[in-house]
Amino acid sequence: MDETKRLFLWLNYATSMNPRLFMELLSRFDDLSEAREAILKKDFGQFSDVSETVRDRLAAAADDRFLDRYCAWLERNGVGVVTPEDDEYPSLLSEIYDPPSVLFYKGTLPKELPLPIAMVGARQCTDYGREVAKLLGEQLAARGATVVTGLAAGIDSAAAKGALSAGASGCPVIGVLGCGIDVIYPQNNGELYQSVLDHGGVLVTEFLPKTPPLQQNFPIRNRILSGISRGVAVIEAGERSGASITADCAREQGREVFAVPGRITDPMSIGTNRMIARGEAKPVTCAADILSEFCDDAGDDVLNGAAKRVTFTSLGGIGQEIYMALLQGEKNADELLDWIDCSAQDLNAALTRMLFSEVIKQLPGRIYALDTIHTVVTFDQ
Amino acid sequence: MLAKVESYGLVALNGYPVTVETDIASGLPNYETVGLPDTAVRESRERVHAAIRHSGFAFPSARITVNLAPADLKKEGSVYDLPIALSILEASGALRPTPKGMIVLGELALDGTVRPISGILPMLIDAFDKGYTVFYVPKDNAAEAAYIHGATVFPVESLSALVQHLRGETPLIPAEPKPFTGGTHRTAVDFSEIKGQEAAKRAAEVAVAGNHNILLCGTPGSGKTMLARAIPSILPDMTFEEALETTKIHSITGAMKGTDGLVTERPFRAPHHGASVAALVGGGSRAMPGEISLAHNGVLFLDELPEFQRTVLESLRQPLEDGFVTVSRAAATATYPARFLLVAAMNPCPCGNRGSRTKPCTCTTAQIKRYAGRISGPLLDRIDLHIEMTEVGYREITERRPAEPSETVRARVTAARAIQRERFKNDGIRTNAEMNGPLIRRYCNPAGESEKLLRDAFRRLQLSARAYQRVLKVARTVADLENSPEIRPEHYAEAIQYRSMSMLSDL
Repeated sequence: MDETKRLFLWLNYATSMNPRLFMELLSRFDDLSEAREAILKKDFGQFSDVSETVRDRLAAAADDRFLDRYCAWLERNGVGVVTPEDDEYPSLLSEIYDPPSVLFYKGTLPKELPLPIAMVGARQCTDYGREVAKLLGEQLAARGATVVTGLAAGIDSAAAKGALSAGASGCPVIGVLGCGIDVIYPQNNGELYQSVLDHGGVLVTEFLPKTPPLQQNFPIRNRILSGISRGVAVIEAGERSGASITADCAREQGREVFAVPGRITDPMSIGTNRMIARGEAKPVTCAADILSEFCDDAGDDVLNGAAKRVTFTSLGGIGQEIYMALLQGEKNADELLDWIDCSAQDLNAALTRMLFSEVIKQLPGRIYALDTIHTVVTFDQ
Repeated sequence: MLAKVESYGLVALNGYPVTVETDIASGLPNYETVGLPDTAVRESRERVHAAIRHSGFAFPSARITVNLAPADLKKEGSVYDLPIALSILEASGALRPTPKGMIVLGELALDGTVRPISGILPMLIDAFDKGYTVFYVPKDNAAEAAYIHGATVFPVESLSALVQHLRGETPLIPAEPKPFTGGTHRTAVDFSEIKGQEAAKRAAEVAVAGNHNILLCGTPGSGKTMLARAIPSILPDMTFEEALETTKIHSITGAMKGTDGLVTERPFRAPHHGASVAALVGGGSRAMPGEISLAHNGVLFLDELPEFQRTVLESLRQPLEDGFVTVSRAAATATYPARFLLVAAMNPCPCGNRGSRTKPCTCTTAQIKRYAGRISGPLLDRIDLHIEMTEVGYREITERRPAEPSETVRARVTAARAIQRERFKNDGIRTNAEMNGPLIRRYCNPAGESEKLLRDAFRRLQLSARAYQRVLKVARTVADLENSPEIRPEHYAEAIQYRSMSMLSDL
């Protein structure tokens, strides 16, 4: 670890979560080593206006033994450090009002991020949200964009999984954490973390190692999420949600905001629909709607562009009736039996076949719906 | 004077002859029982003493030694009161030596009347197989004993009546051998009372037809428990063989005392989820049968499956696979049959509302995973049908086309069972669920379209090898219900449907 980074780590540690204080102190010295010398000599002249706590931390962390241990720990755990002085520091992030003074990361941080797009949404999402997040993530990554996500449960995880499944080279996912780089949150997310790293993605955070995922961390984290990205896509957001806060953040930082429309009666789509209605966000129906804001050759794909096509006649007698019934909305097994005049065993057999050919999908509660993402049914002339 | 009377003992379901020997010698009055008696046997002294006096005989005032041979096996219970009393009377000269080859069983009341005992049926069946044909049993047990055709069973009401019979004064009348009049069934809840849930009812029908285990999963109020309680009404009636097997187990626990002899109705056991391993699979110092053995040839219903202790659920794995359970205790080791239909019910998540359209689910993914994780994969694998119950709306409760009554469903199930009995008559099993690997290969041969379907299912549903075999068995049953000798692709497709529960996956 070079000397500049050591000094940055020292000042970052002492000022902990206050990048503005960091910048203020940084601007007082031509060379940070002078500041450290002064502290080591117990000369607090230049630090008269900072609080006692920070002064104590400054003094404690200035010790060589402490810094050696700190750096050794980072190295041992494969944690990289970038500061705004470095080339690898995300250029978009350095433009925001209070960029983090130090970014801890795991994985390889590319010099130039190809089109980073943040995807945010509720943790308690609907199946619709999860499906859309997965699909958009996959399409964005396949087109060379980098999906920036918080890696929380729900939308975040779905978006990350989608992007990872695209199998694109480069950096498909940036996970921005609201806790220390060595903390896994939510607890069962270890596998996803590893998967991000295995696929060439990177995990970043500005929080000191071992910081627990405290509630107040997340709004702080969200400004990096939007700051690092060129656009923010809100997949699902309830009336008051973290995703809406991130969208506000993004607008302040001058980023493009996108929102996925939902049914106007869905509680989990109130936030996104409102953004669209007020003109605060561009509605998204497919990845091209996002990409077209940033490049000319966004294409004109539709969300289910990759769907296979089957003809209505090929569905068979009961299959056709099931299709017609589900066209009018999802139904559970018993409602289908009411709708279609057939026995439970014939319905079951037909359902299995349609599930396997991906014409329909099964939701919790034995509810069936058309799987329009995977299959388009065409009518013969 | 020395006297010998034959009686019988029981270790689990296996009997052994016990010879009650009494020696009366001169000396200070004394009474000693030897031959590893337990407390109940030791206390027989007081009952025998009082019973003999109140029956109008003299209790010998001498040195009495009662030996229960073989002397190295533990003797339990009050079975030996009557043979001991008889042998004392014989040794004291009040009675001529009894003929050989007769077995005497019974507990005595202080006034000399004979009380019923537990385990009569397994004892008598075992003794009959070993060549004993004459039995003296308590009057209240006679009904149970009368199903052993070819044996002479004398119902004994009191000690004095038995003595008068043996003296040739007032002969006892042997119990009429009872013919088996066929199994019975109970209709606590009729299928026609269940509104909606056509798909789940069909699954229950398939489960019963092939004796497949079934898991019902659904929101509170969707009718899981009601459906489970309706299952006895579609169970096929018991055969005599099955009735005997089940009665033997129930007899050991003393549940048959004073009943009309035979368990003719398939048992429906519903232990509470607080049950211990010993309560479920069997245990206690005498290695008594547990709920799974009491449910033999019937239904074991476990409501709120994830609330059972994990160790309790895991203990079900071996009996589910083998159809019997071996209970080992320091004092005894016993093997009991445990071929039951497992019906389990659970909510889809801790709050119960996952999959509901009207009530929001407040559980986190981690909570749902933890809840579902309480049921281990190996146990789930052993449950052939996984059914999600749909939410019942107001419309279903009020206006529905008339549902099929249990009677009709039971007729189909009985027909399917008959096909299976015929098919497996040389294989030593009765139902599709019991098929093992070689039998599955012989009777289920997916080819062509069926094979493609199964390959898809294996991949998409990530079935284990065991789960895959279970799908084949269920498909066999679906075909049997239609009286179709071959298993057609749609039979496989329906069977696969019963494995594709979305609730526990896809989080």
